[in-house]
Amino acid sequence: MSEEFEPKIIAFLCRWCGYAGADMAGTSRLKYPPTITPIRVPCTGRIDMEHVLRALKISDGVLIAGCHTPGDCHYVRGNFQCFKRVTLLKKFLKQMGINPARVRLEWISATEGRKFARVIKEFTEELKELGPLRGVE
Amino acid sequence: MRKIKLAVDYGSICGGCDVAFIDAGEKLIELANAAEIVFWPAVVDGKEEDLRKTREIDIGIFFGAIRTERHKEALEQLREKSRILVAFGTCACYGGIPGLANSVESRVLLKKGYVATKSTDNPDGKLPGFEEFKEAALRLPRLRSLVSPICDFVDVDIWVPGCPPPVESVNKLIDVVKDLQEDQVPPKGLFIAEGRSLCDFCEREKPEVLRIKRFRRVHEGEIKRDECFLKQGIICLGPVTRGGCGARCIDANMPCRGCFGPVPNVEDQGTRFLSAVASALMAEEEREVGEEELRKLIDELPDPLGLFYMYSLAASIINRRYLDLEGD
Repeated sequence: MSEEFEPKIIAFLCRWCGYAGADMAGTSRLKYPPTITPIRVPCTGRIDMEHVLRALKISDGVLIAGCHTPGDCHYVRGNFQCFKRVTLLKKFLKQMGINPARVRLEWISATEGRKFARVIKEFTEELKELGPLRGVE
Repeated sequence: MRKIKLAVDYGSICGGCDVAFIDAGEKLIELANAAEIVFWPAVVDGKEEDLRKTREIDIGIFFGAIRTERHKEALEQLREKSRILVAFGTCACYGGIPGLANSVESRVLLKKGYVATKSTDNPDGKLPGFEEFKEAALRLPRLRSLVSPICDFVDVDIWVPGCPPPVESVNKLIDVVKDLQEDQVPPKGLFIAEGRSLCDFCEREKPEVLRIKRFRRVHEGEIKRDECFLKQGIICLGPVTRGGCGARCIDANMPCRGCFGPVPNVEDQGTRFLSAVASALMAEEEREVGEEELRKLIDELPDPLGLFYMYSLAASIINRRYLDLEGD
């Protein structure tokens, strides 16, 4: 792909871990590419896969960041709910010709500002490699 | 009483919707008394000319999805002439089974159909020509890149889902035609189906909390007649599917495949089901089971596209093939 392509990422961040991790990255003054549009959700278990598909239609990749498994979820098992749904959704995406790597699920705790910045950097690079998401017209 | 002018035109059909009308039996006499059939290829000997010449039709019924350019033209003509347009059958409403073709590019489909199959003798790899056959005054309609439900192009007044719609739905539609004789116009957007999910009409015993230990296919072991399919680990689309079919499959001890389309206020039947079934897998035991084991259990569902979107792919959020990955 050409150098100019700047991927657009929609990030669903859980209020307790992912979003707090993003805050931590900010207060620690860590640099990461300005490619994400964060959306704060109460829990990754609240994310309907319809949200993810809608987000994919207007972006190049979707990031979901929540609390570490097995025991960190504020609501006990919301992170596992999300894990199961995303795992199954990726199979569907593959069948429709969408690279499953475009949906990325990461466990990022409130203290892991560094991990948050690294994930955004990695994901942006990966999406640059893949190029824009194009469907049959 | 005045006769209602009625026309039926086709998109991509299998013929099942015509047969659904035949199933109505004696009720058809009422239809014949109430309506003058202007055009209906399977029923009367009218030609397309007759439809083209008719200025106004009271009720136009469309069967099938939009697959070729000719289907689109037929639909637009019917809409223009009809006071009331009916989407009859799941293909017209949601794209139906032909909609599954949207998971493949059209050029790959043509190649598969005309070149790649073992039984095809086509050494030059010639695809069907879309040029006009002037001597025969024929024109082959071009395949569109996508299969679409009719609501992608026109306003729909009455929806009759089902693959095919059951006799009760056909009867209700015939009653609508009779009401038209007395100028009783049905409300716009009328669904000849229920507003609740199939589970509301299913008499099987359902668990308070649904937990699935592992997925099972219908041929694997015995299926209990009085217990929820999902509780037995068998994929049943009842929770996300509109009721009104009379639970025919359920009564025959077969799970629901979703032909009545999504329940009201759900746009994406497949994804909604995907979310639900994933939540139920090993519910409340995830911690003990762990991510790796869950992944293995999910891998036992090899085809979420074909199972969850069997009838509604063309009307879903991701309704077409994307060009990230090679292959068909």
